[in-house]
Amino acid sequence: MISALNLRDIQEPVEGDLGILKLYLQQIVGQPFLFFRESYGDELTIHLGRPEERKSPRLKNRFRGSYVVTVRGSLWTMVAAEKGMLFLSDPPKELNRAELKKLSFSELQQTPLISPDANVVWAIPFDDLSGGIALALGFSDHGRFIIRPAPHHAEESSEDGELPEIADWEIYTPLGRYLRVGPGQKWAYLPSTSSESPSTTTSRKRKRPSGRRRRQK
Amino acid sequence: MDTETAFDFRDYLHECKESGDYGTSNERGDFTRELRDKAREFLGLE
Repeated sequence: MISALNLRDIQEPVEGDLGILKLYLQQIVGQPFLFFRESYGDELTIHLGRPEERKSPRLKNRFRGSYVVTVRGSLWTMVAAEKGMLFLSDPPKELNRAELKKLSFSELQQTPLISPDANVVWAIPFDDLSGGIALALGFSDHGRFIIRPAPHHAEESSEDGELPEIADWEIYTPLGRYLRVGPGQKWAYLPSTSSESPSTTTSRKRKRPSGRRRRQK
Repeated sequence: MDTETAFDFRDYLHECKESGDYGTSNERGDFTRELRDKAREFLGLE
């Protein structure tokens, strides 16, 4: 039987259910890689899809992708297969740092570690050791990008109820919706703009009765 | 500020930083008032 998922419907916060999350991620599969960009707070963003102008006149010449993956405070690893290089946002202490080449954000932005014409060929969420949800992206040039929630981020978020929660990673879409993942196993697909038409918004409620999923050991 | 605007605002703050406008922290060591002013500037409310 053929089924359809309306990507304009919202998904209220749920715990786990990575199979459904994977379905929402299908919309970035096939999208071309555009560029990396650093944002406020040293946050890495990955721009995909088609270049779009910003709404704000303050950002007139700063194009963005129709899809943007924001890494927030998470750790990331990138395999640039064609260059035979591995890039790490937070190399393990066991590695001899003297042997590692340091790379600034501007170098990352200027050196296309993923080919400009490469497309996303797979996008898979998976349970991470931190207790959160990681994301693996594969590109048609055999490059891979993996986002893993920082363990300290997961602990801070669950213990401090006063500060607003910061997601582990997010994906902005051109449909006025964004995928918000973390902290922990929580994720949602929510409106990203205030221009919301109630007639096109259907709230999908699916709650896991048993609470958090068991963490991987 | 909706989520999309907040995302653009973060980019705007970064652009300010790149052009040398780093801001100055207050006596508590944070940028609360300055961030509020930047948000007004970004939204065209000044």
